[in-house]
Amino acid sequence: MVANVWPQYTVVQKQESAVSVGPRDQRHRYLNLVTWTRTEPVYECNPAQEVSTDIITLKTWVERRTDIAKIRTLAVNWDGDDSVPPTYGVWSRAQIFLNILHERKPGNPPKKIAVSPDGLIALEWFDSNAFVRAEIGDTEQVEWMFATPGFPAEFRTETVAELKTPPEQGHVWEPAMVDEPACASEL
Amino acid sequence: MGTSHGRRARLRLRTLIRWLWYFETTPVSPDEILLRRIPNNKSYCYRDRATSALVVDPYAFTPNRKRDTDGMSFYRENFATPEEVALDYPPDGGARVARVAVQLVIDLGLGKIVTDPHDDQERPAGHVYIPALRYVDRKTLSREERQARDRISLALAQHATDNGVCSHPGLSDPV
Repeated sequence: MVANVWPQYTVVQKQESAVSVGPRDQRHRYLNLVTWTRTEPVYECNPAQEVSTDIITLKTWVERRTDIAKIRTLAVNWDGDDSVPPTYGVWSRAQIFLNILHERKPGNPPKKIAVSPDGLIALEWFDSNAFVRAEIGDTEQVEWMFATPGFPAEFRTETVAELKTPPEQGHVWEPAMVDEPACASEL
Repeated sequence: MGTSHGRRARLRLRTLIRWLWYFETTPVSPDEILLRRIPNNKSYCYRDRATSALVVDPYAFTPNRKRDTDGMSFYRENFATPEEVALDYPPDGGARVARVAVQLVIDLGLGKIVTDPHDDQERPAGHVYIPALRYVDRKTLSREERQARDRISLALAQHATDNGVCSHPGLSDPV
């Protein structure tokens, strides 16, 4: 519970009466009409809320790291259906991939990490409209699946090695010159 | 009561007209519903924090290398209840049951559904499998074949999510 929330309204006093003004367009209208006697500062955002969101994101990253660590402890029949656990190589690549994602997109952690019945590891993002999965298997490749309701799922591939290469200084925000866009950056 | 045709369908409104001639070996009709047991594990099923709804992961419809060698297993809802299916060799953490319309299986072009009644009368009636969804080592598949399989798993999972996941009362959230 946040004790002190910044005011969302401007209080404009004309003579004796106070008028609450919320949306921006209404505010502009008042600027032309009202004779100002006293104003209070306007804050468009809620800094307390921003901090809270950031904490949730940080917590989610910690949870995903814990998930990855737990996956290393899985044994055969981990799901009760005789499924095999990921090999060390798959697990190791998934861990590296998670670290790269954290560096590249700190504001968008995976919502879930799943293990397939045949030992692949998937990092997943989802909401009511979309499902995105990055799947790490026995090769260096990461297979991305982008699914939106009403449209066929799209697939792209990139390698963990490609992702490991740090962007050159001075070109951090320039798009990579490749045939296919870097999928991690699309999140 | 078992016969050479297998057990008879459950007597319910949906099966009333054809009940006398409706056995486990009766071919699956397009208006039927299939049930798939899902281990109560976060990799297969999870609760969406935003909506509090249970969501089926595409991995719930990924063939298992030991259990789905002939094809992906289901039970026919006209023969077995979700409770019976959930309790069929339940994993330690319990199991949930996803529902899939046969019409979707047809629409996805998955071919025929093979009836395969269990000899063991203690197990649920109405076991079937879909040969098109049998386990194949992904390394032997081309990229297009892998993607086609992933599309099918995704479609089945989204459909199962929309239909609601059946859960035993008191079953904890997947971990």
